[in-house]
Amino acid sequence: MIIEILKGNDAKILRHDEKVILALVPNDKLRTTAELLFKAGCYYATGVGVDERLLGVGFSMYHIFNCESEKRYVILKAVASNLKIPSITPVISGANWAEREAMDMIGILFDEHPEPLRLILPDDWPEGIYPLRKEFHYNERPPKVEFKPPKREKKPGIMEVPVGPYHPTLHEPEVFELHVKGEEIVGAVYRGFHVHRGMEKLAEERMTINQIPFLAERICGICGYTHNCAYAQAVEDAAKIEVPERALYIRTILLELERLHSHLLWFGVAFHLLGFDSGFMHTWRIREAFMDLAELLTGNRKTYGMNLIGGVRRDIDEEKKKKVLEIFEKTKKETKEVLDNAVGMKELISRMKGIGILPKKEGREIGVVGPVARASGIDTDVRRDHPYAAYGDLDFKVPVYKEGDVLARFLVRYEETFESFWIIEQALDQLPPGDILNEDYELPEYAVGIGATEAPRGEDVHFVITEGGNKVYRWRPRAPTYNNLPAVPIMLMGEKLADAPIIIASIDPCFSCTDHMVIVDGEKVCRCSLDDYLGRL
Amino acid sequence: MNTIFIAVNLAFALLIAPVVDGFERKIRARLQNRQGPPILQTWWDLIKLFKRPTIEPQDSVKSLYKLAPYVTFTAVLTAYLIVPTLLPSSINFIGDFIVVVYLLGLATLSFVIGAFSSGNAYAQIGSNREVSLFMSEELLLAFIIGTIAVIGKSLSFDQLFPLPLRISSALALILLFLVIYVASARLPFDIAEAEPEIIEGPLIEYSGKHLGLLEYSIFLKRLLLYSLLLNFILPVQNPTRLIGYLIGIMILSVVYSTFEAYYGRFRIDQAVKLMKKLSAVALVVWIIALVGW
Amino acid sequence: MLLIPIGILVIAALVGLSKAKIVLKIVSTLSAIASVTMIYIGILGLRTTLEFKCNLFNSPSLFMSLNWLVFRVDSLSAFFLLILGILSLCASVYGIKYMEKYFEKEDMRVYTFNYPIFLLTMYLVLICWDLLWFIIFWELMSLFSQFLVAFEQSEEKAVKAAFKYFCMTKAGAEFLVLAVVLIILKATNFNANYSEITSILPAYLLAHPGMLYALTFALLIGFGVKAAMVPFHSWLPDAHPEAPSNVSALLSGIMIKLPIYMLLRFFLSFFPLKPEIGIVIAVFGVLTLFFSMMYALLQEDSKRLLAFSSIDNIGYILLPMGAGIYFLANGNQLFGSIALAAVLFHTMNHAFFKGLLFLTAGSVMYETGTRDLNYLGSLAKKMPLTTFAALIGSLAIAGMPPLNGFVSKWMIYISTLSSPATSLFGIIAIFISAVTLGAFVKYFTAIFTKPAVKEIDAKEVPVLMSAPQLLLALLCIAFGIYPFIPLKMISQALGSIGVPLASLVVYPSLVVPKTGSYSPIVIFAFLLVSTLIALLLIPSRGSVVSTWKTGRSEDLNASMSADAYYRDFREAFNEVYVLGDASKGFVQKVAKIGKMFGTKFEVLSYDLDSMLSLAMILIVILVAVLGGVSL
Repeated sequence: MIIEILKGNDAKILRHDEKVILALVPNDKLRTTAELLFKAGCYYATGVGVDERLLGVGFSMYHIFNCESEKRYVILKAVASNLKIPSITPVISGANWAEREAMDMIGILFDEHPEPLRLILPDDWPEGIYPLRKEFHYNERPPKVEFKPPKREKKPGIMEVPVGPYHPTLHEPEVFELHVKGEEIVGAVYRGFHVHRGMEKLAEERMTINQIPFLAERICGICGYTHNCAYAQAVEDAAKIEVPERALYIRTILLELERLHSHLLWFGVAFHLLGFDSGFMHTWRIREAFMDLAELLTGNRKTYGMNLIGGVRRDIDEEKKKKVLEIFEKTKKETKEVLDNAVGMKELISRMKGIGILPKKEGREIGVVGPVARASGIDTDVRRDHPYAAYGDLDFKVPVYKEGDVLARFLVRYEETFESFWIIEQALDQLPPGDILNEDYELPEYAVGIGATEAPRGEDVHFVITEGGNKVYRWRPRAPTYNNLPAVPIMLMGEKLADAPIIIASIDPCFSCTDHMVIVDGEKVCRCSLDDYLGRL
Repeated sequence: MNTIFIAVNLAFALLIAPVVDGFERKIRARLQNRQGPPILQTWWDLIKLFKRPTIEPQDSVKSLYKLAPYVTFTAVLTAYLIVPTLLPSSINFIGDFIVVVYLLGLATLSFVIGAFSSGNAYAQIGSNREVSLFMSEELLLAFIIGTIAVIGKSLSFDQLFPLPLRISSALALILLFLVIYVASARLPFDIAEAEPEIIEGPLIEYSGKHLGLLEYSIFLKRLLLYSLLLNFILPVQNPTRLIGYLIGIMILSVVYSTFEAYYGRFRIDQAVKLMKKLSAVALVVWIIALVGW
Repeated sequence: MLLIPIGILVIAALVGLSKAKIVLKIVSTLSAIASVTMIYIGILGLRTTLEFKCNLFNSPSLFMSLNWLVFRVDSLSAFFLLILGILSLCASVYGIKYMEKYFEKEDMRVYTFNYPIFLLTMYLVLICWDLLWFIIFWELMSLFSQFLVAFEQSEEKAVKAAFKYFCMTKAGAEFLVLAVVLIILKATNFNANYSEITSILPAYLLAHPGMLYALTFALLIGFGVKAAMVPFHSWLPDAHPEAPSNVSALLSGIMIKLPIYMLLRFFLSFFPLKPEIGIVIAVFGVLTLFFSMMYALLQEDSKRLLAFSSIDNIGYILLPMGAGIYFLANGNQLFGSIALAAVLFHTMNHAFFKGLLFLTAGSVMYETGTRDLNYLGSLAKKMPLTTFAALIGSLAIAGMPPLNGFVSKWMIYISTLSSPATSLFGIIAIFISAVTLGAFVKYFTAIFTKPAVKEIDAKEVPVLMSAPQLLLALLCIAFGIYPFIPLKMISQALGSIGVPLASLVVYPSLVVPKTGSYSPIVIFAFLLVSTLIALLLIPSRGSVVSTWKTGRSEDLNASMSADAYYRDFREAFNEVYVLGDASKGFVQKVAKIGKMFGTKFEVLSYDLDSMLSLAMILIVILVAVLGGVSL
């Protein structure tokens, strides 16, 4: 069906296999195609701007759609003519950030974009310098320009409460600005991208294809391994590398272990934000066992460093297997006890029930992923829809709740936690014999690959264009929080200020994942102005 | 004699209030599977704060902002002239139940005005919550005062300590126990301060000596309320009173901090509604007291 | 002696008819002088009874009582005179500068003529010693105060408020007329002299309980409307804010206390003491303080908030009055006298702190031109003296020790809480006292400390305006720390209506035997000394840094809007507002029906026959009532 839509719109199919359809769409048909895809049930995953001038193409934009019904990713490629590409944001609001990012980084202009404002670059970044163009080098320091935040009109009756960049709720520097009437939130503005580390540029210019996994793992301090996997899968997809089955199982085990500790961490944070510090302490105590497990299996408590293209670096032997199951027996019981206790606490539940509601329709349009989507009745899970690693062979449930409130997100994570135990047990049980690393591969030139994993926070998409040799031409990781964050202002609207922290936390935001993209002068915290946003409120 | 007793009681309160908090911190830590700080840690914290300089925010009303912590502190301290702690005080005419309640009200008021004067958005929201909670908690407290006054036919402490053994007095003291829990700004009622939500609300701009004074006055207020509750129970002129008092403080600390460890924070509307419901219960208790049970 | 203020004020009013600019100063000065003489008369009156009699005419008519104009100042009226004098002195001095800003906008003669007349009528109400004369002065007072409310004639709101005020107080006054006519026709044989009534009426009413309740009903409505007792209060929140602030101070501070004065006279000296009457009054008091304060929390207009709080304080006065009557009737001399002492003490306190607060609201208006609590903010840096005065006023009205408000509230609680019948009243009063604290935290912080939405251009008010505020603030502090002076005056005042005040004072404490004690001096001294010691030991010195906005540097709107205060509290107590609004709706419906009847009547009046028959019916009813067909 999708292929018909594409063909019906004069698209040129560049790649068509069971995982990915890549099609070059003419600019005048781009918006209709995107709209038709969206209506066909494909939601917008992300968009990647690429400087393809070295390939003789010019600037291009890859819109990536996740088509669950066909278990495929569909990539629409559009090439800028005269730097211009029609914007698809008017029909798919989820494309807003991706297009603005391409605008900032590559300098593509999107026709009819509803809010063509800076997203990532700080306000004192000079005009006309685009960091992800090939002529910009990773160690360049552009001159700062003078920036004065314009004076804003204060509206009587509406208090502007700053949340961030430094706020105990936020464990990373981000800016929310809540407009409150009394304690009721009547407006919310988000401004992020304060922690730019320039990873993409660094990977393109400085790193080899087998070094990037270690960089990718450092995108996030909690769910790093899932980024690592997604990257490896993207390259393996591009180069059609066969990964040994045992390695896939080991990846699965580690991914689920990561989900376990990440969810427990989230429970702790949520309890802390709700003032239930005992729960916080106890979940983190239990989490400690998983950190030890990770150390046992990989040598590291965090940032496992296990992946290479084509497999993993360490094997799991019988002794480790036994140990894991042993520890699981205990932790499973403890986890159940603590979480069930919490679920039984009326006060705690009443703080989560019915607040921060994200309706399904809005969620779909924004393209929320992971537990946030599943809590709003959107039945999506990369593990099931686009089976990777060993998930295709394993049995697990995908919890879906219709309520869309914070409690639903809590319960989705609650159920997932126990699913993860189950998945690891299965994987350990079925662990096939064999090699763990396939080093026998050739990297093709300029092949497009896509790798997606279900991170604890949702779908994690990595897009890679190889450069041949041992380099990548373009690598674009898209963390789940990137898609979930735009939903937060919707959730906050009309809620009490007291609930803002738990609502923000309910998407399990990982700001540094989202902010990894670009080099900014490292010493200076960017000043950001919200005025343009405010004008529209 | 009387003056000496009061002086001893004051000194005791000033010394012990932070220790009680240290003790509670220890208990909470044990319940949360932590080692916990030493019992004197609260004292060390206070001493450290008293050594630090203070900071005045630019948008604040300086005089009010600076004076408020002192008034808060002394208002609580003044209440110790009336409520005996370690030693039972003989009849003095400094004040009665009403005066104590109003002195605590004065402490809240000056705390809130100081916070409002800081010019910080969070401080205003926090103080707003503080006053909302204060008003609703006062409804419950008013019923308790009324009940106790009806039981004891008096508002003067020398008539009220200890309360006669009746059903209504037991119920009134249980309610007083709850009010004290609410008034001592603990979880789930630390709504005004709520660190993860509004960053300690009214305290947000206070630092150094000011912060030290405000925290000190919170500890003093807790001990005062503990003493008030215990005085209603303990016999006045009895050598066992001293031991009973000290054990009572320990028991209250343990019970309160256990409560605290097992609750999440209320939202302000939930807390106010709870206070309203409890007030309805208090009305029933008051009626029971009227009936004479 | 008693005629001096009358003379001065009449001269002032005559001068006030001129249009010259200097007139304002002359009139204000003359009023101030008259006020000083009133204070003097008050002080004299507390010592001895002053009297003035003059035969106006000799008519043998129905109302022969009017032949003699009798002025008499006993301790009770002296006490009220003292309050009137102090407050009108402050208001007059304050008016010199304050009223200047109306020069361009309004016809100043409305003020300069009516203001002294208004003072004069209040003075006359207090000193007259005859019920019929009282009715006349009373009506005049309502009339002239109404002109002052409508001072800003360019504002439609003010004119409407004045009209509402006039209609309601007029309607209330009819009940008074009815009551007075009943008294002099039935009981006292056309004699309206207070002394005569005191000697005749109680015995008569004891024999005719039906009459007693009818009179109580009429008086409660009649005076209740004027005192803005819930449910007859609706004129006050409209009228008081619209008047110029110094007039608002007088309206709230003393005029709505005159019904209290008369109620005391009626229920304590003219009527026999009945416990049920006491309870009824106390219930009205509780309703008044409860609903008005809950509504005060909602207000976003500084003077409207103060107006609602005035109603609340009427509740705080009616409550102990009722309780006092109840106790006295039941023979509990101790609590009865304390409750009644609380009535007088709170009357005085309220006059001082509410006058003070209205003056501060006026100063803020004078400088900023607005009463909108949403817009105001951070005036403390610009108007330090006014801020100090407003802080003292707010603390006092919230009943914070060691200020004067606490003493009277303490007396209310002490007398009511421990007796089963009145305990609930005391409980609600304590709760509402906390709500008062909330409302005045709102008033004070919204105007003076919270950051303003926009920079407000203001400076400290001139001395002539700040001095009266500081004087009142000083009185609030002084009478709080040393309440023994007012208590002495109160015991004399109560003595004159036959209530001996049980000895309350055991120096340096106020002690009610076996019930409670409060030592303002010790508490004040300890607060002061320990604060000073704390300041010495832990001195507060530090550097100024920018306010912390979680790391943001922009200028954010950190100003909490007025309706944001205590939202959750108000939502939790929503039933109160639902009930209040429902009864408001009901009253409006009644008013509408009344209007309908009015228009019907107008139609009728074109038809001579029906008009005559209607008049007949009315006359029959009147005759029936006056003749006592069945009462």
